[in-house]
Amino acid sequence: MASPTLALPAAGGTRPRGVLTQAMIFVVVGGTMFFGALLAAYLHMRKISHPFPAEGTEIDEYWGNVMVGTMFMSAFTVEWGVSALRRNERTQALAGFGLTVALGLCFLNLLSFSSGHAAFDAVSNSYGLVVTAMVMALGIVAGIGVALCTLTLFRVAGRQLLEPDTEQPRATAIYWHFAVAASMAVWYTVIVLK
Amino acid sequence: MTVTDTRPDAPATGSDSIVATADHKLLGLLFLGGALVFLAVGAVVGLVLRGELADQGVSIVGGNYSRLFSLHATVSALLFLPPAWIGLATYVVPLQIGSGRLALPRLHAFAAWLFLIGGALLIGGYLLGPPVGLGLANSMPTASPAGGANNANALAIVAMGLVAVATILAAVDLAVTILKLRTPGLTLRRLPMFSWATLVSSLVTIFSTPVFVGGLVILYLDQRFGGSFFAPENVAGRTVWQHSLWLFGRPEVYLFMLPGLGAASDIVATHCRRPLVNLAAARTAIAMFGVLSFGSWAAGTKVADAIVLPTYTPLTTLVLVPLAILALVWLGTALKGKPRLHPSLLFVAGAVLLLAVGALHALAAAAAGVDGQAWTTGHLHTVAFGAPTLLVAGGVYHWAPKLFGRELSPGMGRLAFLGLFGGFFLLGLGSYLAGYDNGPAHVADFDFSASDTTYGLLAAVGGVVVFVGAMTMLGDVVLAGAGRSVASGPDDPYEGLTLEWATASPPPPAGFDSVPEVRSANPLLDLRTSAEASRG
Repeated sequence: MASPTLALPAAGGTRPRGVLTQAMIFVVVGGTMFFGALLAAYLHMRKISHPFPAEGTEIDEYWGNVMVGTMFMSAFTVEWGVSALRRNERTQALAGFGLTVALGLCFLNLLSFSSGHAAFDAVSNSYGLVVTAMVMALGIVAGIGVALCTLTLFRVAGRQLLEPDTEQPRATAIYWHFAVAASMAVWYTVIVLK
Repeated sequence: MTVTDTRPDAPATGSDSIVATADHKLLGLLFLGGALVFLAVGAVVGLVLRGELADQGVSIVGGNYSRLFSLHATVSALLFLPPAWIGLATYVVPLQIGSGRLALPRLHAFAAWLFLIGGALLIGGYLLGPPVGLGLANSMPTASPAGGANNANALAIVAMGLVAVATILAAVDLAVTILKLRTPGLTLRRLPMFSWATLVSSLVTIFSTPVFVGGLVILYLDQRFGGSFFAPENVAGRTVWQHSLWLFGRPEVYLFMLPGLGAASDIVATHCRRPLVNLAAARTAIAMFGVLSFGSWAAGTKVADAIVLPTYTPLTTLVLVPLAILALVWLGTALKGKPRLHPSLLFVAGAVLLLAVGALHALAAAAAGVDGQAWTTGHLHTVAFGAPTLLVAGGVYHWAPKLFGRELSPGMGRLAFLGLFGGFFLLGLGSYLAGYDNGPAHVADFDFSASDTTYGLLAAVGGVVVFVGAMTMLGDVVLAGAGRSVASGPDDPYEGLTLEWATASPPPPAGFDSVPEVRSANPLLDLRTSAEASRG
């Protein structure tokens, strides 16, 4: 009988160091261009449409501020997790990544709640359409981030990540920082600049 | 029973099954095979459209002209050239850099299947119903129908998004592979030209394609819920369309050609039996081509009315400079070398000729003040699609010993060359001439004059000849692919210069048994030179 293994076999031998970090940097560059496109569409529309936003289109600043605050805090907790792993402090790492997952879920919940209660939707007008596109994109980006942090959390809990193999958590943290930066950029554009 | 708690290393194949494989060679063939199947679909639809324009009246397509035109343009633009280059790069680049594997093989496998599923869904969208407002080759958007578009529309947009994401993921993996997995001694300045062009193309893809995805998100919401963002009277929507969705307002159109410039450089060097005369100039030209591709974003909104695509502004016309540099480098290499009349070299020569024809017509159009849109159709098929397609064919014939374990038939290769080169020339010529007569584009029927009819027929004959050429190449590839598992050709049939020729044909699962030492951009030439020196 063939010997079963706990994990899937590697696709092609040991992965060289730095590969995941490099790949994640490229993903972040692509993601920045993606959000850049949406923000540019919004700003272009803001420049040439009058009145802007259209009358009757209001956005709740309170929920926007709470959401960006939540994401801002999670940028620190994810770094807490990574630096704890670098020092081989497993319990601290569990706390750091666990809190990041919890804050990410809170953000997703707030995003869903606030878009459900917004005074506009995708069909209201051009403003509603582009803001809905940004909210949708933020939800997807944050959702992927939560999934990555959860994976890291389970790997830490299962003792699969031990110092000095911290590349995967570092790559996860880079992605999470991108999600935080994206939420702040959307917040600044839609809530602060209006 | 033994249970291991560590991840065991497996051979580079990952799995023998094509479904679960993470082997770069099988993944490359998967991308390439999918691209060639989609080429066949695009060619058949193009043939139907050309048949319709060959004669007076609407007799073949009925009321489906716009639907078929959109399918033809979208399939050709999204589902053939980019994945064909990704397929060739996935197979060849790990061998050229001496790694024998990809950096993130499972991510690449995910991208390959995402591309195939997305491509199938895209065609499914067109079969399901007539998608409206999706003519990405049209510079002006179409308003979404009141109450939201049909399911065909939604499916087609989502499918385009899947294909675009697959392209980005594959580009990320190829760039990381080149940056992180090069064999010792192979610095970036020593990279083979195809690998260099792949790196530049991947970076352009990573920077530009996400903007297309952003446009698709807005388009989906607008179409799905019946919004007014892309209504022609909305100036903001029109600008967003032209800079994120309209094919020729995006840097991606240059990606049809960019990897081909690297492939052509390797083909010329190998079959002229000497290194390129000025490797640094060629490398700089390819990088410059990649950087200039972003000029399409800076070309302004007036590009929509321009006739010379994609050379419509001084900034985008600059792209001719790197092309001219490369053509001179190739010519110089051919003059100083001993050219072998391999089919791949014919394809490169054909691509250069098509580009030259396009440049001459651009000059003629500028002098004559042509404003007929049929001219643009000719330019599109000659320059933007014809020349890169010839380079893809050249790449397949050149690397066939590695791809299939044996060379493809030289006779069929020459026939395919005649079909593709002659066909694109005639197809372009018919449209160019109709353009000089102010003929329209993207219509099922001309407002007839005698010359329009003649030119339409000429372009239709060209379309048939292209189809014959493409089918000849496909037949040759299918025959070779069927015998791949038992084929075992010579490792280095051309006395190549770069590392892919140092391994078996087809390569073993791990890529290399041993990788030669790299001390220059032509490691195999170094090996031969030192062997000759030691002999005497």
